[in-house]
Amino acid sequence: MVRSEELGIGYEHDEGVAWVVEDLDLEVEHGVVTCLIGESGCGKSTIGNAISGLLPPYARTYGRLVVADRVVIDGDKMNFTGVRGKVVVRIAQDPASALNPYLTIGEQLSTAIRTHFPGLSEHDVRSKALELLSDVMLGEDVYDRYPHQLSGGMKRRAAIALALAPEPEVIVADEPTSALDAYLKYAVASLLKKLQREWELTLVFITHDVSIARYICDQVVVVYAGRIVEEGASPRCLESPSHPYLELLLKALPKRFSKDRLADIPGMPPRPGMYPTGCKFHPRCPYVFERCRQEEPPIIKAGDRLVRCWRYYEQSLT
Amino acid sequence: MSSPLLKIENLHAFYTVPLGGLRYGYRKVWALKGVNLDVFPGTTLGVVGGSGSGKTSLIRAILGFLRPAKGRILFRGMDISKLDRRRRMEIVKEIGYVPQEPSQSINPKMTIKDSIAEPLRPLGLSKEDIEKRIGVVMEMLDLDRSVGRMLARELSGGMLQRVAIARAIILKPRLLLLDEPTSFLDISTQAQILNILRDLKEELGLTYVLVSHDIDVVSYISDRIAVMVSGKVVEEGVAEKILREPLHPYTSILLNPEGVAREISIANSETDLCPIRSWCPLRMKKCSTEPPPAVKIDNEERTVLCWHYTT
Repeated sequence: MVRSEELGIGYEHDEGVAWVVEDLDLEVEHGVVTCLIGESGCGKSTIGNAISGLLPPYARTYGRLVVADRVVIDGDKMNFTGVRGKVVVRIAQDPASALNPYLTIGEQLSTAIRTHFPGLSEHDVRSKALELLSDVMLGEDVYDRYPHQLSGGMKRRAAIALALAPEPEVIVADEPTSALDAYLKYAVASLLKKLQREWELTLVFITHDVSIARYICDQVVVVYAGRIVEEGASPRCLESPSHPYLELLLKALPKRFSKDRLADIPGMPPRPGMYPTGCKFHPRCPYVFERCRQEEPPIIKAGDRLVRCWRYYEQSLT
Repeated sequence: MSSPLLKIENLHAFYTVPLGGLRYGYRKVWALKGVNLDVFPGTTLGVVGGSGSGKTSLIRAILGFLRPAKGRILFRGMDISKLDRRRRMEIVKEIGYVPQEPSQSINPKMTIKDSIAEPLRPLGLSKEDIEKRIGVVMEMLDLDRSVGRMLARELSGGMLQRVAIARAIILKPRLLLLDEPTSFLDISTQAQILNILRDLKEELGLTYVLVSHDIDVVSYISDRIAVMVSGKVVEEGVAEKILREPLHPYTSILLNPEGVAREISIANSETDLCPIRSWCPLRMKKCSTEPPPAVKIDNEERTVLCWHYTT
C-alpha cells in the first residue's frame, strides 16, 4: 500500500540541503497498522508528512515513494494530485484543531462528503454524515452542534470522522495520543484500531510511546537518525529487541515494579545534516567495533525481523 | 516515626475565572478540595492524576502562587501560607522548584550561569562563594563549564531541564517540588533526568514531591504515591503496595488504562461527591448522595477515599 525505494527527504536551508531521511526502504502492506517509533528529531514525522503529501515547498527528495499504486515521489518530483486528502489523510496530534468553530459538525462533514462524492443527493449526504458519526461512536445529535458544544474527546472523534469522509485507504496518524491522559490514549488508539479493522484501512501510526505501539501495531518500524534500524512484522521486537538502540531505549523506560537503574544512552541523537559516518548509532552504541565507524551497515534479515547492525551481519551469512 | 517535613491539612484553593458566554462576572473554580498529605524527610511522594486533577495547583499552593482558601500548609511545623514576607523568604529558601517546561522557566536573555546563580542574589554572598557554588551544582548535574556561557535556546530540552534542577538545588533546599520534570522529554533524556534525580536525592538527602501523569515515572522514584482526582487525593499509601494492589477504582484505571479503552468522564463539579460515581464499578447508593469518607486501611498506612471500603 505504501512502498518507498531508497527514499531521501531533506530540507533546503542557506548552506544546502539537510537530509533528514536517507535511503528509506519502507513497505507497508494493505490493511495493517504500522508504528513508526522514534525519538524527537529522528525523522518520523518527516516520513509521515511525505506519505501524506504534506512536505513543505522547501523539501527536497530522491528515490521513489508509491502510495496505493501511484508514484507520488519520483526523484525530485512530487505529484500528490488525487492522492493527498483523498487516498491518504493525516490525523494531526490535536485533531480537534481541524474543526471550523463557525460551522456545525454536520455542515463540515457534508461539505467534505459533497466535495469527494459530487453526485450524491442531499439526503444521501446527510445519511452518510450520520453514518460517519456513528462509526466514531457519536450520536446523531452531534450533527447539529458546533465544536464548542462538544467535549474534548467528542471533538477528537468528530475530527476523525471528518478525516474519514473522503473514504481514504491510508491514514497517517502523527502522535495522536501524546499529551493525553493514560486512559484517553487507549481510548483514541482503540477507536483508530476499530476503524482500521472495519474499513480495512492502512494505518501509519507515528508515536514515541512504546506502550501504545505495543497495544495497537501489527508492524513495528524503529527509526533512528532518518533510517530504519529495526523492523518487525509483530510487536514482538518490542519485547526482545535486536538493535542496540532499541534495546537501550526499552531499558530506559521506567518499569512499574523494578527500581533498577534506567539505562543511560550516552550523548544525544544526531541532528539532520550532521549525521556521523558509518553506523549512525555508533557514537552512542555500547557494542561498537571498528567496522561500525567506517561503514554504514545494510539492513539485514535476522530471524523474524530486519536489523541495521553489523553484529547481525556475520550471523546472516551462515 | 519522625515528624513530617511538609504537612498539608484540609487544603482548599480556587481560581476565579470569567463566566463567559457573553455574561459579565466571575465564578470560583475549586482546584483543591480538601487535600491531606504528609511528606516525611528523605522520602519521595509521587502525586499522579489526570489533567485537571489539581496536581499542579497543589505545587502552586505550596509555593505560595495560589492562596489557600481553607486549610494549612505546614513546612517544618510552620504554616507557610500565613508567614510575613521576611520570615517567608527565610523559610522558602529551603523549598526548591523545578517547573514543567524548562524552556519557559529560564530567561532566554540570560546566560545559563547567571540563570543558575540568580536565586543566590538576595543572599549577599561574595563573588568567590557564588562561583564555587555554581561550580559544585554544575558538576553535580554533569553540565560542562562551557554551557555556563550559553543561552537557553542553544541547549536541548534535557540540558535545560538539568539547568532548571541546578537552579533549584543551588540554595541547598530540603524539599524539592518537581512538576512533571520529564513530560516534555524523550525516553532516553527522561531516563537521564530520572537517574540524576535519584542520585541527587541520595547525595543531598533531599525530600521530593514529584507530580506526574505517568505512573511508571512516579513508581520509579517514589516511596509513597498519592492519586489525585478532581482536587482530592483518592488514594495514598506506600508506592509498592498501591502498584501491586490498587484499591480505589480510579487508581486501577491509571495502572491498567488499556483495560478501559473508552472515554470515561471525571465529574469536576462543585459538589463534594465522588468524581467517578457515574461509571465506577464499585458504585453504591450512598455515592450519589454523600461525599466519600477517607478510610484508613493496612494499619493506617493507606488512605482510600471511597464508600466501598467503609465496612
